[in-house]
Amino acid sequence: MADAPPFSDADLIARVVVHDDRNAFAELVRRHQSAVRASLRKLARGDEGLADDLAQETFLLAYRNLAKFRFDAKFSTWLYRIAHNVFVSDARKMKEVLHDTEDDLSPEIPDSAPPLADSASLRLDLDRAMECLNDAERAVIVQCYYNDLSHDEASQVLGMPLGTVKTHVLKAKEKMKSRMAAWQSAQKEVVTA
Amino acid sequence: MNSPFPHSAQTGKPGQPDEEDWLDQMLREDARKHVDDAGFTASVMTKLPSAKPARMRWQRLLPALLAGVAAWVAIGVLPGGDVFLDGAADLLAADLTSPRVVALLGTLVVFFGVVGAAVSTER
Repeated sequence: MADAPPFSDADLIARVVVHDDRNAFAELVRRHQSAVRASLRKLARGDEGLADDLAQETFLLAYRNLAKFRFDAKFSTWLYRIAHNVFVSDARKMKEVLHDTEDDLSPEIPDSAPPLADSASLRLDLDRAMECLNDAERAVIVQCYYNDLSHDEASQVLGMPLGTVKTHVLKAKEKMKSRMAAWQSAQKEVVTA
Repeated sequence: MNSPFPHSAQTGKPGQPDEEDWLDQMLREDARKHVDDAGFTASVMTKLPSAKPARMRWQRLLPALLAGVAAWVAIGVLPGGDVFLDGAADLLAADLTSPRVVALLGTLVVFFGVVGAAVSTER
């Protein structure tokens, strides 16, 4: 026999708002924790402890403000917006204001960083390549790829004009590709030497 | 020459299947990884503010009831209560400048303000 259909996010939200149903909220957290934590880990440059603290704050804020959720966007998109705001707020506290910087202000990763040897390590290469992105580019990549949002949704979550989102996606990918291509060349040289 | 980054101008979402490049694929593959809960949900739930105990209907009406009793005591029992009755008489006579009318109206405003605030807090 098939399982009973699960409650939708809207059902669970209604139960939390009307009856303060803690089990319903726990189910919402279980459903969305992976995406929220994964994207915050990317934003926090791999600092899992910080990312989880921010994710926890995200869900607590979501709980407090759930009655204000108007269903004009997906619940997940609303959560991502809270998560992004929590991250930016924390970054400001840490004197790392999200800024739309020029390329020369991006964190410098030396091109001579040793390339990783096999394809299984490509993901680590990907993380390293993301290090060359400034905060705005990183945020756009996280929203568009890790949170699977459209450019339009990403622009709403990030509070950026749509054109700026598109530009950041292009520039970010260009930077990552050139960084990863440089490592691949270096790797080939090591192999042939 | 084909642009290596052809996606964004045509579609709302980067990396649609027909225009996906190797970096799109890597990013999407990386994004598909699931982060294990590992106690995260339980940790969030322990941090939620404590639940308000469910209240019976009579408990919700208690503040209004107490305010009503207090008003009855003030007007009907205490020696100075006559001032309110006199104020009401003046009010009916439309003498709005009487200090007693002002006292009465002020008391009523405070009374209903407190009751309203108590009721809205209980909702």
